[in-house]
Amino acid sequence: MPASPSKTVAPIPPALPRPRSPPKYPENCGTRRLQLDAQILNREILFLEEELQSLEDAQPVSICCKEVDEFVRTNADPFIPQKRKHKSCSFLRSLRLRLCCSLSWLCFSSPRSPRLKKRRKCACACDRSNDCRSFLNGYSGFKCPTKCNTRRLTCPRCSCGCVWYCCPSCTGCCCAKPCCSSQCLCS
Amino acid sequence: MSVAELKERHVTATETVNALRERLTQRRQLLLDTDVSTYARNHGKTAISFSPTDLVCCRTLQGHTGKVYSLDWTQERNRIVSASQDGRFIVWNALTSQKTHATKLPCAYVMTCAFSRSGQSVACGGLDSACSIFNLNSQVDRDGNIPPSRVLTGHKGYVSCCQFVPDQEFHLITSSGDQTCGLWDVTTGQRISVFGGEFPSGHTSDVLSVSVNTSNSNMFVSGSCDATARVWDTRIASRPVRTYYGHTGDVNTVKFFPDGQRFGTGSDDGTCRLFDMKTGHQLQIYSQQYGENDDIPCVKSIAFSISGRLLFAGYSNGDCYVWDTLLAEVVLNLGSLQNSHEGTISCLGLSSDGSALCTGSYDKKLKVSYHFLSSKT
Repeated sequence: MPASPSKTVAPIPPALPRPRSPPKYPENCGTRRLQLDAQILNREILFLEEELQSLEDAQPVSICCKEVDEFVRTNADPFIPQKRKHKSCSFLRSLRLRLCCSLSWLCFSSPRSPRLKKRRKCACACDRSNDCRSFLNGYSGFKCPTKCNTRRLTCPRCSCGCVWYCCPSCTGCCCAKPCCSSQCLCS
Repeated sequence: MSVAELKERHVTATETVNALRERLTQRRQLLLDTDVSTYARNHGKTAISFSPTDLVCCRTLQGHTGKVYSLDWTQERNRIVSASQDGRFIVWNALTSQKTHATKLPCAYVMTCAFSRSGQSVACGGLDSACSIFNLNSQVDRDGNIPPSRVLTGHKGYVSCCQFVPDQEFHLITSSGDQTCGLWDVTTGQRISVFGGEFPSGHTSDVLSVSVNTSNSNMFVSGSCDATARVWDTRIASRPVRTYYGHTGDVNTVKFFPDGQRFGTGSDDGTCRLFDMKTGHQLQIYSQQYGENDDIPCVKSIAFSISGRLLFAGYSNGDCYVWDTLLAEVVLNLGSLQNSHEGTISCLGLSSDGSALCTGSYDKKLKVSYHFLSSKT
């Protein structure tokens, strides 16, 4: 009797290729970063211990406050004028001097300036539209269109630094006047 | 050492740091027996009184076509330099408002400017990560601009602030977005020292401001986005002298108190603070009350009056508070006065004799103010 033929079993296909896992390289980046962080933390510990040590002998805050108070008390302050007269600071002296000179030029050189009576006071340098504390006496025609009697020192119509005065008859920018020597950047 | 061991060491070191910080906080609390305002009140100090018309705006400097970011006064001759978003710096005569110099910068994104001690040179820095030095006596080019005489390169981030060392014409301190400060020799263009960085213990975020101690020019203070201020000795770049904690937001501005022993800070947390340099104590907080839903304005710039009694602080909402430093009260808000700025007060500074205050703003203007009564002889 012939042997019964054995059943043919389909061959098992070879396993599909699979990518290999990457080789386990040493984690230089991670290790290096951790080492650096450890160094930084160790330094921080050292500094904190030094600071703790320094606080052992540190004076309390009240002593520091006393020093601040003494310093403030013993130093004059232009923004907190004393009641008695004192010398004005150089910046403000220069400013007042310049105001007087500028106003003198306006009085005597400008072809548009009205005839002026005797000047009694310099204008303040305010830029305000409310009542100012200084004013010019006897300057008829120099009243500002707003409530303030002061002279304006910068031309309100442009960005140049020329001197300009509040006069209803003076229209437009005064850049063309000889007084203005700075370059106007507004154009 | 293995990664696991390193991680374990890291955790242990972090716990040690936190424990030490806690001990430091407790030790400081024991020494915090008062603050400046409580001390002043207990010793009979009365508040400064200002009326709205006491501080006079005598000059409005117009000419920039962009936000003003920075300003500085000369030591003498009453000139001001300002730097703006329009990519220019302008030198003004503060008495006449006239512009003496106006120069386009190589990099339009300028953030800071400073005068040298003599007033002959101007330093400007910004997003180009460099600081350009201009000699005001140089010949202008055919476009009317002064070419830089030196460009200080080396920072790896924007230059946020610069200041010349007061008694040295050629030394400049810079602060940068690369977390470091630098000391430079402007004649050679070389960086003499780097303060901070990854290995030396320094700021851990962008440095936004520096102020050099006028009483001891070897010392300067820096303020950073890491919410700390640090005092440095220019002779020891490896580590700060001390680190000052307290703020809860970026420290945008720092300025030494006139006595050189204290300094003030201004921050995104809306407060100004006064610190003692030697002990590290926080002496006073200058803060307004805000509602829970209010946007808290950031402090952008500060300056002390010459006696230290007043602290001028410019805020992001256009306010410019004048604080009584001893009583921690606001005595005036320059931002609420007529003819005040119409935007953020980005910078401010006092003249060398302390008699005039210049403020710069996002409204493209600068304003010079003084106390009306102090002009009288």
